[in-house]
Amino acid sequence: MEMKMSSRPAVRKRFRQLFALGLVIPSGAALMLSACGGQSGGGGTKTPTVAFISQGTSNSWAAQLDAVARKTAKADGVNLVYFNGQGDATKQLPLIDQAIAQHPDAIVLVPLGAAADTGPVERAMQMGIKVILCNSTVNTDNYTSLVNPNAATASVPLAQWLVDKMNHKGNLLYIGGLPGNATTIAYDQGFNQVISQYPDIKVINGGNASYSISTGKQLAATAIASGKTFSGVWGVGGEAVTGIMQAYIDAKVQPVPPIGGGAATNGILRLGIENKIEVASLQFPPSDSKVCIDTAVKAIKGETVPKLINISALPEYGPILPPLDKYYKPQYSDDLYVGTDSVLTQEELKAINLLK
Amino acid sequence: MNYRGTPTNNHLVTASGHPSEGGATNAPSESRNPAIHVSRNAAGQWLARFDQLPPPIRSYALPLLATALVGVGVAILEPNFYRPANLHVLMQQYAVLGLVTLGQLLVLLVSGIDLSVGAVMNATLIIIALMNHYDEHLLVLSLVLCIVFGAAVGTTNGLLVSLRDVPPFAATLGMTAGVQGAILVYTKGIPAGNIPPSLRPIALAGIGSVPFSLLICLSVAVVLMLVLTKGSYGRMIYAVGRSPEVARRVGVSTTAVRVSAYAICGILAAVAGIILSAYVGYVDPTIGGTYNLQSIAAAVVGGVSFLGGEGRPAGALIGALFLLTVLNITTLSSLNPFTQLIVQGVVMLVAVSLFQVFKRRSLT
Repeated sequence: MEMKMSSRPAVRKRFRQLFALGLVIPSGAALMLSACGGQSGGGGTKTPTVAFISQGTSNSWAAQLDAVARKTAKADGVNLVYFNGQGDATKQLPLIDQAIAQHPDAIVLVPLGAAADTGPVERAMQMGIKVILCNSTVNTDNYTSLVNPNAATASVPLAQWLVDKMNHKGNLLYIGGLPGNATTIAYDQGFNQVISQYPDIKVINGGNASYSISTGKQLAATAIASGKTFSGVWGVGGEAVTGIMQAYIDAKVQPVPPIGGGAATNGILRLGIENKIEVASLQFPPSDSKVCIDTAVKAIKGETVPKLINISALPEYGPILPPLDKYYKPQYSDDLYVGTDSVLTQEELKAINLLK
Repeated sequence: MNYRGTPTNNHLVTASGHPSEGGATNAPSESRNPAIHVSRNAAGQWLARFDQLPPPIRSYALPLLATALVGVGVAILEPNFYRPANLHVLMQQYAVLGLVTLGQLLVLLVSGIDLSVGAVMNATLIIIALMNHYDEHLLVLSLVLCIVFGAAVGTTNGLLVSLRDVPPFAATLGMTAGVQGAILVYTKGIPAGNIPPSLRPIALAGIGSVPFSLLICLSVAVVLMLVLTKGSYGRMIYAVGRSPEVARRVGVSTTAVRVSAYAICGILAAVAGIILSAYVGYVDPTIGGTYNLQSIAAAVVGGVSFLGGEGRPAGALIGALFLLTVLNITTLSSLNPFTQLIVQGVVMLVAVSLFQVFKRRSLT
């Protein structure tokens, strides 16, 4: 009995030691491997290393972004070290410093926190590491290149399409994004720029969907049930627009007013075609991680890269306006963003659950 | 039985029924003003009458009064609220929050908290969507699996809290991370599948204008009311919430009671997830996003205490109704989205603050 009692702390201590070893050994091995990863098999030429600090496993957009980045890195012949931000700014922040510690040739960062990420980005630049900001920015100009869709300009043709469809008058239901969020602010800038020119359009605020389909549907259902008639609807983000479309479909309102503002997904296109709803979407394409990686490779090679690459200004990333049939791909799931299938093969899309 | 025997500041309550707040004796100039004196007397008489009401009515007085006031205010300011179509939408949305809040009530009654209800709802949607990807012949099995999953998550939460002494906040938050992580690993961030059309009538159809989902919610509420007020299980729940040590001494298995409360909460979250999936009709892997905090807020507004052992299903349901009514009205009001947030926050704070005043009185 006594022995048993006295052996317990020893067992616990042993367990703790093993647990600590279990943490330390793989971490050390991973660091060594990643440090060696920059060296090629023995030819002596150094394979460039790009640290890709992604939004990480959080949603379908990020999954497609990662898949395209990995494929592009392989095609470009660079060693891609992946850091998973898990969709959380606080989890992503320490990863930037971990990446800097490995001293890669370039960092491709998908910033989740504009203010918090600023310091690490400046530190990386001071150490001579090229920094490519992908799909969002930070609070400094001290970076190599910013590859970003510009929702402020991209939403203008959508808003213009919407007001034209409304014949420049009537009630417009507005379902917002996430208050204070940079993308939401950009969406609103483009929207307000157009709407302010049409005094006969009355904007009815329907609340903030916070990039949630469920919330978007609940808000739109409430607005529809209020008895007001809407000549057009604006939703900030693909989630809001999907929720709005579901609300109109379930409320059996006919005809459904034209809807603008979402980011183009196969699901929005499907709902639009199946239910004869006119929808205009912009592109916030995860496939632009190809441009991010390609830009990093060019910068590593010493080529001059633009300080700003406006994805929305590229012809392949223009607005998605009706008719929708030419964009819809019935063989793929609702989560496919327009453009991803132009970079990934059918097999690669199947591997990330995008093939039906 | 349903009220905590917490010590009250009886010495601070004056003969007229006013809490003195330690400063009543320092207001001679006010008492000389006849208008103030009359109004104080009127308020005192009103509060004295309130004190004579039976305890259950006293405990529901604020949520009911607040909801009634909101109802009257709405009739004046936003008459569209009473349109049958809007009330139908409100009932559809209420069923989901009501079910989650009833589950949260049970956990709060045993001094716990469940921050994993949203994750269970997300997982429920994923299970339904994946198992009914191509056809619907696995629909019933998928629904059973959802409920089993909810029960398993709840049971694990309960065991962690009861047997390993993990704080409920940490246990259920960790469970949320685990469930969300498992969803991401399994779906690779891209949930395939779809919501079967034959599931949708649960949320969209009903008897007359009353959705089936609301009938499910109210049935669960009635069962819970009976269980908590009439049966020995209810007595054990309140006993464990008020004083686990005393409950243990009188032979109540606090572990079994806690685990069962968490398990039922998980099951109700799964049922709510099924109904919400049917309502939304689209694969949204973050479907349960706001329900963790909404259900807690609804329960607290409805008189459920964070300290355990205090609260009733009717109160929780009234709290949920109040919360959803406020959200519905701010949406109907077409206020600026930023202003909507402020209004929602202020109304919630005022309601909870007023509730505390009434609760203090109901305990005296």
